[in-house]
Amino acid sequence: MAARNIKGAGLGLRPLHLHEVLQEQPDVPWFEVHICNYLGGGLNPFLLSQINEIYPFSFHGVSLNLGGVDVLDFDYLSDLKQAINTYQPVLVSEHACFTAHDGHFFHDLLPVPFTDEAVQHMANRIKVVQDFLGRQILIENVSRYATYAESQLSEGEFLAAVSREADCGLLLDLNNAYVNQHNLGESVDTFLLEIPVERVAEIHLAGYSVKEDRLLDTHSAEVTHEVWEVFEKYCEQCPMVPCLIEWDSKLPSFDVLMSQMRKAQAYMDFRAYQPTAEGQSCLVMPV
Amino acid sequence: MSCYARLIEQFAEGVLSEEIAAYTDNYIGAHLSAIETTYPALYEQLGADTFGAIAQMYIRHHVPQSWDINLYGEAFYHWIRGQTEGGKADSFSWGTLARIAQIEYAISIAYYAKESQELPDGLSLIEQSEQDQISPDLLCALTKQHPYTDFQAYYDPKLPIIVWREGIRVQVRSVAHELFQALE
Repeated sequence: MAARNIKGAGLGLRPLHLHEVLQEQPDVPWFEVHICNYLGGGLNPFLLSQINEIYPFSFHGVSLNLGGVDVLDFDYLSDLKQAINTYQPVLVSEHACFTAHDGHFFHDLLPVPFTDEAVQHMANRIKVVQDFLGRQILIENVSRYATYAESQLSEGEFLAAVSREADCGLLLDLNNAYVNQHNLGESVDTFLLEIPVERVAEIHLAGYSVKEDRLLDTHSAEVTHEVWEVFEKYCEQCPMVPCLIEWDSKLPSFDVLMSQMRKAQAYMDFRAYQPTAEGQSCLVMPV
Repeated sequence: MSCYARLIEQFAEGVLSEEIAAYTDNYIGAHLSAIETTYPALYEQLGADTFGAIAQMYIRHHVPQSWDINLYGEAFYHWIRGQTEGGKADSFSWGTLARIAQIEYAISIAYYAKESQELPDGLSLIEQSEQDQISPDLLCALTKQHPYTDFQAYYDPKLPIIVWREGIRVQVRSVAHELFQALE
């Protein structure tokens, strides 16, 4: 089994590339796995086990419904726990959103209001999940296309409060933050200032698509210049947080993914070895 | 109901009622994509426009009831069969296409099924009828679209079909009525 730590820039492991990854064993430090696709049987988990012999994993889920008010699905959680025991992922992440209501599954990351009540609600559910899994999870900021007039907090304040209350980590999706800035007028800089850096354990970079004047978080293109700029700025502060190139639809050849991954690594390396104003390298690994 | 729960409910209703159009589009798009993935041979037979129109109507009438989007579209073959009463009743052999759809859903179930100690993994049973016989053309389409599945060269329309997974391959086999009934 591969060494159990993840560093630097990694890639999302998609079913289309399972065979290629096994055969070619590309120089990728770690893979993020959409674990919902592997909780059943069949071919994919079989291949995943073989890949796990070579590469460490981070698990990423979309089905916990942490912001929902339906009861938590303990059958799903049991399957997830079993997969965690089997594959020993370094990180396990989910989203700060709701995905189902009243038994109706939306299969989408629907936003929650940013209120004190929402902080308590989501934090309580995260605590239950962490207790059940016996480990800390990360929660990710989502792209949003509508807001609640009732929100009292900004997204950054909300995530900071939830992570503090639940003692969970954060997965920072910089593309989502940029999409929200464009569509909703919410400043990326302010968002990043509000996020507690010590809780950020993974970064996502992705490409969006444009529909009329709106940006859609489709994960279907290369990371844009604007999002690289946000990443560069983030690396000035924290260059050592593992970073993922997230590409889910209109998948390109594996070479294109590798090229994006190397670019992310180059940004991280550049900042990690730049002396600070005080003449020291800023190699500080967030806890 | 708490204030938070009420807001979540209102948002969910807004997605379904198309008041929050961006999310309604995502909802329809995600489930359309899921149905296309499950029914690739049917998609090929109907073409993007016809398939898309039928699937979107299906999505508006069928609530996803599992966290696993791969399982969505369970009743789509009924919906396909129901097209015999629709405006394009004479455009396609809907009964045969419904049979193809039923097999494709069974393949998907078998593919994603957990390993079972008692029954073959992801077992599905499919009755056949002589008027809906699977033609060589359709068999070719199924074979092309399901590379991890083993098909027979010919399916006797008088015999039922069972679908299950064996190791990492999905099997689609005609069986005797006696075995079929025993499995039922």
